Amino acid sequence: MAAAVTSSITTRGSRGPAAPRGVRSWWGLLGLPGGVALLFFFILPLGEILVRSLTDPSPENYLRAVTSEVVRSSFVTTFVVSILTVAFCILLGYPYAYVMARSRSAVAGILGFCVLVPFWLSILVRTYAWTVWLQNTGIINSFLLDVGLVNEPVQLMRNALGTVIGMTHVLLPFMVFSMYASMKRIDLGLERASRALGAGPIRTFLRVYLPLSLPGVYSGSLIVFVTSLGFYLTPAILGDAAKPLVGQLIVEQVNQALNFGMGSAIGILLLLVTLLLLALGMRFAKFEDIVGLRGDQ
Amino acid sequence: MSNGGALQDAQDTAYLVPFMEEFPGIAVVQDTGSTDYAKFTAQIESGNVDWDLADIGSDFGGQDPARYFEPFDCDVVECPEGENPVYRIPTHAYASILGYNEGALSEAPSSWADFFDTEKFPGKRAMFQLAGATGIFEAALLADGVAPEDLYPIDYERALAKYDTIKDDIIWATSPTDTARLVADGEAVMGNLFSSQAFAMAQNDTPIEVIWDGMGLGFDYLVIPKGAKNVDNANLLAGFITSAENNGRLSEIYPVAPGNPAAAVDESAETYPFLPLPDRAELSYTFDGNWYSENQQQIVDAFQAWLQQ
Repeated sequence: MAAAVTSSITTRGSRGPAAPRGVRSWWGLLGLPGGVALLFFFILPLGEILVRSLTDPSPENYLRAVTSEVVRSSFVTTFVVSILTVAFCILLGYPYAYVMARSRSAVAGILGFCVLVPFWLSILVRTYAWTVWLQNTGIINSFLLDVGLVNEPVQLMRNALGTVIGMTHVLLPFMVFSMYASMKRIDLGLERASRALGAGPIRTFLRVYLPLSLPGVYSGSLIVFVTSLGFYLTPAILGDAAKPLVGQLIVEQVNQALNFGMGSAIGILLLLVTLLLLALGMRFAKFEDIVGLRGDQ
Repeated sequence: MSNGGALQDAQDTAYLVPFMEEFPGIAVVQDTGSTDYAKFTAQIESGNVDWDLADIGSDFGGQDPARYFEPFDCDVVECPEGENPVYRIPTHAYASILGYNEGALSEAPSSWADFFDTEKFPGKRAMFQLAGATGIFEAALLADGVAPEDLYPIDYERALAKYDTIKDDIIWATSPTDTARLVADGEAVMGNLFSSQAFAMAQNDTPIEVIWDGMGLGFDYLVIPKGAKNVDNANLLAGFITSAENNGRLSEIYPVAPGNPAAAVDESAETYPFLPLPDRAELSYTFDGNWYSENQQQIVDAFQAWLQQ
């Protein structure tokens, strides 16, 4: 399953008038149930994994993980696949979100619904459905062979392409909705002003609309990228067995070798690298934008 | 607690329903999914054990059973000879076999050596991607000329070297069911299958044929997880399932051989031709589960490193 990145932050709230001094607000208590749930179901298990990685049998797990060629190359594969997934999501998602943002609300609703449909199907069903299309005896290859376009089946899965197709399908909604939220905030009067001042439609798009929509692209990319890092099932079914992602490696260490310590250590390393990338990503996009907390301008 | 899917349904029909008729005071609750060794170990370590009786493979807990299991009560359960105390009762046997797609090959293969002969039998091979007691190492060694009695301890480096010769022609499957599907679809022409999957495919009229020669027999065992809450009832149920009288019932509806050699199976059952009975093959071996549990980490690491070469 995809690992979701959970984040809870506090903000200064919107720029409304501050509460008068001396009046204490109890609204903060509403955050308590969520906070307690996070503590018990996320923070504590994570602490246990951290402890296990250091004590089962010893911190040597990290030495073994860092010096292992298998672990290193799977990290590389994971990053390459995640970057490709982001690229595919941007290419497919941007035009779609653009149309959605510019449509009347009824049409936008239908388009949004279409993006969400895959969410209601189990990830397993979706992934196996792709094998029906992509495998050597699958629909696409059968067609290509019948028409005579190719003499040998084209490898569409059991390689990086298959993994990226499957992961793009799962993650596209996150990208589309991030972009859509950002595009809805663009004041279309700015476009009209640009046109009135003599810029053509293409120049207007490149100089006015695109820069204003970039926060959505950054935030969508970051969500898709970070989520990609933890994928397990999709690459296991559609990907190349010789190039496993980190998630697959962890599953094999824990389920096959029963090596909880090693699996935990690899997991913690992945988490550290992810946090590092998030920190780097923050330089390009503001955290408030990413989690959609920006007040109205 | 068993391994889910059709097997668990069949175990329910063959054992649990009649057991509950005989002992109406005991409700048997099945947990679905699979007896995941990682989960099993985690439960025992935490002292919070949900299962009273579990069905496990031979590759778990064999060399230090007292750490994981409660001993059986041999007054209630027909214990195998010569063991004392008894921690694991064989409940049924499966086999790892060579299966092939009839329509995809011009002539029929007959041995594991043919599995590695891509010139004579062109096409992809499907294998379950699990470094464990699945028969992948044994198949390669048999093809390489090792006698069945010399398989253990497994020379996994030699087995992987043998796979180097057909590495580009292997499709790694994510589950045993997936292996059978790949062969049935013709995505692969041959595969290292489990006999039970082959039967299921034959039921669906898929063109899968099996070769018994070179089969690997593996036993599933019943165990009582250490710290289980209802040990007495677990003994009762285990005794019922593995008795000579009842143990053959599962084989009549699901293609696994009885674990109790004294249990009889009705030869007219649909499953009978697919049962991995010991006299099916001239050449066969039995999985050494203890070797696997002792060497699990080495083979997983060696296998992962080999895959990525």
